[in-house]
Amino acid sequence: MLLKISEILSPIAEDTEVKVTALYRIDGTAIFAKVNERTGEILNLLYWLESQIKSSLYYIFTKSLDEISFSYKDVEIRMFAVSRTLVLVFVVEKECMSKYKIDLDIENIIEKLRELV
Amino acid sequence: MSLKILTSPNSGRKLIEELKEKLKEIKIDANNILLFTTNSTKRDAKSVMKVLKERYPEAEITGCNVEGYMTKNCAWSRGIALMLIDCDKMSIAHSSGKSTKEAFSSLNRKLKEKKKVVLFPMVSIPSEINVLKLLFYDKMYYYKYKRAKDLEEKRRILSECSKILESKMIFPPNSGLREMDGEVAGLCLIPLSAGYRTPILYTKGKECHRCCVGVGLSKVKMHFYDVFPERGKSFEETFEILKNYFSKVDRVKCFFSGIAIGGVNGLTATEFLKKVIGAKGIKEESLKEEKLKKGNLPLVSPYGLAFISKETFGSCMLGLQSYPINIYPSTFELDKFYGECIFSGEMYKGGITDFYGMLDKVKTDTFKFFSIDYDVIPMFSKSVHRLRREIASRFEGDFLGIFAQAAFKSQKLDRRYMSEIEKGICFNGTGTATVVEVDLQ
Repeated sequence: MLLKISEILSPIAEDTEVKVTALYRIDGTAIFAKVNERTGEILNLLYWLESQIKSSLYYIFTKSLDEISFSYKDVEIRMFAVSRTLVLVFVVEKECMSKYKIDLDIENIIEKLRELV
Repeated sequence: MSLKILTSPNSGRKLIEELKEKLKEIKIDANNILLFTTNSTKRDAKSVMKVLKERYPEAEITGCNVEGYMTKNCAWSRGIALMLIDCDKMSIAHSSGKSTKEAFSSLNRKLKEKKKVVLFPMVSIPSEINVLKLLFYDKMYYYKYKRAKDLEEKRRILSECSKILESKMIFPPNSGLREMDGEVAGLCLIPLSAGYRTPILYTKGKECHRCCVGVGLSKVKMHFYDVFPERGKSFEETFEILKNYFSKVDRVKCFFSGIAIGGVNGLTATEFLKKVIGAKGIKEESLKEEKLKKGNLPLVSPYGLAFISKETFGSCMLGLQSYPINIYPSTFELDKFYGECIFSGEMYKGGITDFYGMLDKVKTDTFKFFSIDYDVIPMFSKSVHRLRREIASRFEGDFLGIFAQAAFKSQKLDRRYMSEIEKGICFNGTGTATVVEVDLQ
């Protein structure tokens, strides 16, 4: 299962413009995480994310949101609900031109993850 | 004729391994291969072509680097898409030349078929040294332009500058298609975010930058589509139609010659953009050292000038960005357009659903290859999947779509397209698509 998840996420996880690719369980446990930029700031961000997953999922489902995004310094954190218990998280540069393209690609990944889970 | 589509979102070693595995399962004996790489795989192109050559030694490999692609099951901006074709009635040729006329007329002579698909870099960013030269020419010609005594002299200076821009950087689709006979679907390549030596084309298994690649076809149907209402029968009528269509509209006066724009309302295009929308502006150092080196120079904009054609009263949009240049290059030749034009924000009223109309004329069971405006990626991003699902639900046949701007030439157009800017020639900087229908039976 984990191997399949990592295969599905690999096209984006391997992209150096995506600083973090992670799949979280509703309780904040990371099932998959690929960090392309290992800085203190990014690690702090990951720690903070774990505590936000539950409340983010609550908003996504109660307010029927497709996604939630936060801006923090020069990065943008984007959260997508994959299922009622899984959240896909990407951290990208705020000014990154390929942000739109990542949006296009994420939809394929979410579709495949939904088929799997 | 038979064909097979193969895609992979991966890059590097993973891509090559996956490709080898997938090729083993494919039974088709391809003699022509269309290869579409994306930004994530342009470095893998040589390895991909090597793998393809090992499997199909006789096949001719042609293709280009695109912003993304879509098939029945996916729409990606990364990885590769391959079209493996087994067809005897298909010819491939390529040409290059200093001017658009030279390149396209040479290509036209080489392709005997009446229907052609032409891939060409509408805007190509040259090497670092040539970018420096272009920035120098820009300053030099603008200096001359500012000091010119009268409008005639200004126009002559812009015309000289236009020739340089055309020889180094731009193949204007309208000038190019003028040189071609028969029905032509042009796939105009322009990177969404550019770097040095982009975009890339592939011909005869090699990479090239400033060349046109043509595919001559028989037994295909080609269609053009744009999202706009039909054009008017006079300047004022088209102007009114556009005014009602776009969200923010200002009437402005432009001074240009060829593809070089000297001024918009008396200011340079960049100054005008700064004044009207308060655009920040890209600094020259940032352009050379940061944007182009990293491949991050945006070649797409939500604001643009809509020019109206003197010949057909059709209209064509040119996106404006605040580059550190004085003479602004247009992607199409402006000599047949009015000096008065519209400054507006690009916006399709119906969103991505506006593109559903491109499928109305298409039969259900054929294979469809289409090119759709690359603007849809920044405009609609994941909503592009709605279009993919719509196409998949409407048709039984397989399809491959790429994100590139569309140009079209035909003497039999089915409606008064807004994008018909010269008789039989359609092009627009936004909101267009071309569909090539292939009957596989």
